[in-house]
Amino acid sequence: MNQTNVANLPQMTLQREVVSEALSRVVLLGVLTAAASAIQIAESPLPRLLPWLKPGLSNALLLFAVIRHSPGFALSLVAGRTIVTGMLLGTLFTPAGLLSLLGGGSAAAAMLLCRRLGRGRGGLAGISVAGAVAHNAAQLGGVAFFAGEGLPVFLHLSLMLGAAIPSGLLVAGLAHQLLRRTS
Amino acid sequence: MKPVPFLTRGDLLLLLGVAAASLALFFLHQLPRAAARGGDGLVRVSIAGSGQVGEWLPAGARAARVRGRLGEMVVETAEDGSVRVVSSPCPGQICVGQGWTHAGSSIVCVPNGVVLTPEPPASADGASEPDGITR
Repeated sequence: MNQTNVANLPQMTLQREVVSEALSRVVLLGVLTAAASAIQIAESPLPRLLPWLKPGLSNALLLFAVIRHSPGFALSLVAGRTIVTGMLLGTLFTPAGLLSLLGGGSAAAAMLLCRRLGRGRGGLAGISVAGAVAHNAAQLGGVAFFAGEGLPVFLHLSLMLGAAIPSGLLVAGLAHQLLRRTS
Repeated sequence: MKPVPFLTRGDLLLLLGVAAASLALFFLHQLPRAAARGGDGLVRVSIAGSGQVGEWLPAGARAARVRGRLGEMVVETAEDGSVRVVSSPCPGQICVGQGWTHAGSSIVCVPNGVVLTPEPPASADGASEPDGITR
């Protein structure tokens, strides 16, 4: 090894660390996207009282990403999940796929906003319920747009807000376990 | 990184606010319905993009046909005014899987752009009488 290489060693080590960190972030994003898509696909054939009524357990991974990683990482997870799920369920570029993207994007935005505004005061339950409310409200807005007039908006919004509490708490519980076990 | 707590006092306030908003919206929906009760129990049909809003299906219709964006949908209504979709050209068939739907809820088929809302139409002043009935 010559003198020049020895002098460059600290810089090379630093570069390798930066590359390794970026690579591990990409790998984690891939793993979370695959897991979130699998959960969403597994939930899709479950019998439901109303078409939109489902637990939304894949949002536990979104909440994990919101707490542990950057806003860009969380939004990439939503985009990746929507694309993978849409391709496998055949809903990509259909109204159902767009509603899924709208709901997921709104949930991520609400969770990120809550995390930023409620720093030190807000817990996982609040962030998760805010995400569930935003998800449901955005999807209802989308359905009202696609279906036009005639939708009883107050009724559906009331049911969706009510459903957001148990589903948000369930998602927060799962995310809490995930965060605890990976800290 | 400091661990994020599961539930804080702020979260409880948020949960109470969401629950209160849910109840308030439910009562807002129920108030005009309570005033309008006493009708024959018909089903309101709305079709997105067609300008068809407020068409009504009669109670007890065996196979009413409703034309949506994708094609024709076969709908059945019961004597009590509840409704179900028998067949639909939409890919997901979520509307068909929803089964019988009673007054107070609705069937929304997003791909076909059809909303079916069972509700009693007559009010004391007759303001919400149907304009026409689809047979």
